[in-house]
Amino acid sequence: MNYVALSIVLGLVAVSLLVAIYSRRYSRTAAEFYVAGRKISWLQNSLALTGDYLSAASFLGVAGAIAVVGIDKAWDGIGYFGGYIVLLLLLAVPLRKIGKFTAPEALTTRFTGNRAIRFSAMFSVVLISTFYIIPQFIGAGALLQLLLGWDYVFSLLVIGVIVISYVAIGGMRATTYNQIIQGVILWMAMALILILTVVNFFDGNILGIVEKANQTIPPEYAASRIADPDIPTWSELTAGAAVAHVAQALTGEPTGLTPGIFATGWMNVFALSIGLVFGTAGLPHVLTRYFTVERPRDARTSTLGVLVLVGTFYLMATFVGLAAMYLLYPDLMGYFLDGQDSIAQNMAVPLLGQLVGGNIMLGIAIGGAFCAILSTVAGLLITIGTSVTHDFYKEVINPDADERRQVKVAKMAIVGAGTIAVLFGIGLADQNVSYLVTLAFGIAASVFFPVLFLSVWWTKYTSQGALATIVTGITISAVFVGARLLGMDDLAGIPVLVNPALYSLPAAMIVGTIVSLRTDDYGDVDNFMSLAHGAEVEE
Amino acid sequence: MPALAATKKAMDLAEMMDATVFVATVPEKTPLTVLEQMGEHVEEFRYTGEIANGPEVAREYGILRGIEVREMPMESGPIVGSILRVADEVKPDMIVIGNSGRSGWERITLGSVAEGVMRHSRYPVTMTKGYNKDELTEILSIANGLIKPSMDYVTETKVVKVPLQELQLGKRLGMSFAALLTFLAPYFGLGILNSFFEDVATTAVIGSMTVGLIWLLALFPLGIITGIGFHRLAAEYD
Repeated sequence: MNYVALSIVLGLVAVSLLVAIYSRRYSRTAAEFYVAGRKISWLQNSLALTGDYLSAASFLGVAGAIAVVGIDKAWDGIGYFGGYIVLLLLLAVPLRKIGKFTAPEALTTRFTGNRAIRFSAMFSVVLISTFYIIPQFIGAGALLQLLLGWDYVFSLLVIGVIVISYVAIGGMRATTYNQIIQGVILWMAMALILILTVVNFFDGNILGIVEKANQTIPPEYAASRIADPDIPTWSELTAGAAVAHVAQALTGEPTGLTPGIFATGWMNVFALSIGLVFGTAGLPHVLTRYFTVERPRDARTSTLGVLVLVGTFYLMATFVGLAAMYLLYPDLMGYFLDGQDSIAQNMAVPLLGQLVGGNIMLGIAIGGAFCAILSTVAGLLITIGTSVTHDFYKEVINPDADERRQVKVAKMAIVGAGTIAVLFGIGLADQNVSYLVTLAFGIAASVFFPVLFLSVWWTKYTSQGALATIVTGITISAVFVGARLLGMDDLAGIPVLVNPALYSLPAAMIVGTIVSLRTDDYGDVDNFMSLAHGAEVEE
Repeated sequence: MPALAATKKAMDLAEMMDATVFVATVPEKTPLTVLEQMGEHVEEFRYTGEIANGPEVAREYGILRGIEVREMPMESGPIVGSILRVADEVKPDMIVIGNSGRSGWERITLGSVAEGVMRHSRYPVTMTKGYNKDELTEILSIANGLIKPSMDYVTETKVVKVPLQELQLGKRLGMSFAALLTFLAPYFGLGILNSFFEDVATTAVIGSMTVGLIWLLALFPLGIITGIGFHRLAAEYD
C-alpha cells in the first residue's frame, strides 16, 4: 500500500469538499456586497459544467487511449470539445429560455401532455446516463487497484458503495459546489503532470514529446503483433531502449502519429467524429445545467468558459498521452503482454504522474481522477434522479407528491442506477473508459440531439415525428452499441463500427422528418417558439 | 417561521416608535440543479416551516396593523452583504432579523446570516430567536394564504408571444449553421485527411510535427474563436 499517495488522494478529495462548503457559506454570510452575483453565476456555471463534463474518460481515458493507440485517439478529446460548439450554436440559449427541469420536459413544453414522448425521453435519459456511469466506475476501480493493490472487483464494489452513498445521502444537496472545486482540481492536476513531464524529461521543449511519439509504435498495436522470441524483459529496459527494440522487431509499422490505428477506414472515422461532436448536445446531464443558468445570455457565456477550460484540458491531455506512450513504453508493453489490460488501458496518467513526480504526483494524479469521477457521477446520478422523479413518478404515479417524497424517490432511482452501473463495470473491466464514454455520446447524439434540434428549430415538426426520432435513435444506437461490445463484426451485413452514430443519427433525423411530413400535430408551436427564440424576459 | 417572527417583532417595534418598516428579502442565488434545490428545500423546511412570499406577507400584515411598509428592491449577492447595503441606504433606527435556529452540521455548512448581520452592522440589531406559534396566529394566517407553490423558486418564464415570422427562425438558424461550418468543416476535414490522404497527414512539416497533428491542434483555438464570434453576433439579437 502506498501511504504517501493514499494520503494525498484523501487530502485532495477532502479539500475539495471543504472548499465547497466554505464557498457556499461565504456566499451567504460575506459582509462585503458585490454585485458580481450574476457574473459569478456564469463562471460558477462554467466550472460546474466543466466538473460535470470532465470525467474519468477525459482525465484517464483520453490520455490513456492516446498512450496505447496513438494520435488516432485524440479524436476523443477534439470531439468532446467540439460538441460544446454544436451545443452553443444550436441549442444552449433556446434550451435556457424554455427553462424547464429536464430535457424530456422541454420536449413536452412543445408537445404538451404527450406522455409517450415524455416517457421514451425519460427512458433515454436513464439509459444514456447509466451507461455513462459505467466507465466512471471502471476507472475508479482500476485506480483503487493501483493505489491499494486490491483486487479489481473488490475495489469496484467498495468505490461503488462510497460514490453512490456520497450522492444519495449527502450529495443531494449542493453537490454543484463540490463539482466546481473538483473541476478546478482536476484541471490543475493535469497541468502539473504535463509541466513536470516536459521539464523533467523533455528539457522544457514540448515538441520533444512529438518527436519521440513519432518514433514509437503504439503499445497496444505492437503487443498484439510482436512475436514471442522478440519479447525482452521489459523491466530491464529504458523507455528509449524498449521503443527501439520494438521498432526493430516490427519494421515499417505505424507510429504514435499515424492516424487510422483505432478507427480504421473512413466509415469508422466518421462514425466516431459524428458521434462525438453531436453527442454533447444530447447528454442529459449537460443539458440539465443549462436550465439552471440565470439569464439566457449566461448560457452562452458559460459555454464559452467551458470551451476555454475543456479545450486547454484536452490539449494538455493529448500531449500527456503522447508523452506517456514513450516514457511508459516498457510498462505498457509489459501490462499488455501479461494480460493486465485494465491497467494498460486506463492508468497511463497516474503512472506518468508517478514517473515524473514520485508518489506525491501519483497521489495528485489519482486525486484529480477521483475528483473527475465524483463530480461526473454526481451530475449523472442527480440527472437520473431528477428525470425519474419529475418525468415519471410525479407525472404518473403520484402527481401530488410533496418534495420530501420526490427527493426520496430520486434517491431510490440513484441507488438503483448506480448499482446497475457497478455490475456492468465488473463485466467491462478491460475496456478503455474513454471508449465506453464515446459510445454513450453516440447514443446521446442519436436521441436528444436530433429531437431537441428539430423541436427547437422546425415549426413543422410533429409529436409523432418526435416520438419516431426518439424511438429510431435509441433503438438503432443501442443495438449497434450492444453488437460492438459483444465483439460482432457485422449485423445483418451492416458493418459494426466504433460508434453507432453514423447510422443512428441520420436515421433518427430522416425518420423523424418523414413522419412529421405525413402528420400534423405541431404541438403548442407558437408559444414554444416565442419562448425559445423570443426576447429575454426579466423576471 | 423565523422570518414571520422577525416581521411581527419589527411591526411591534414600529408601532411603538411610530416608524416605517422596510422589508428586505434576499433570495439565495445558487447554481444548483432542481433536485439539489429540492433537497435544500426539504432540509430548510425543518427550520422555517412553509415558505411564503415574504414581502407580500409583510405588506398585508402592515395594512392589518396600520403600519407603513416599504419593500426594498434587492440585488443578488452575498446575503449578509445585501442586507447591510440596504441598511446603508435606509439608515434604519433598528434592524430586525430572525434567527433560523440552525445547529450542528447545517450551521457549520451554511453559517448564520443573522449573526453575520449583527457582527457587521453599524445600526442596532434585534434578533428574534425561536418563535411561539400562539403569538404569530395573525401573521401566520396571512402567510398561509401566500404559500409559494413548491417549485416556484425555479424561474418562471413569461411568454411574450411573437408571431412566428418575426422570430426569423430561418435567418437565425442560417447564422448558427454558418458559424457551425467554420468549425465543423475543418473538423470533418481532419477525418477526410486521415482517411483518404494518410500520406499527407503523416508528412512532417515543422520538426516532427505532422500535417495531421498541426491540423488537430489548430482545431482547439479555432473552436474557441468560433464560439466567441458567435457570441458577439448573437448578442445583437438579445
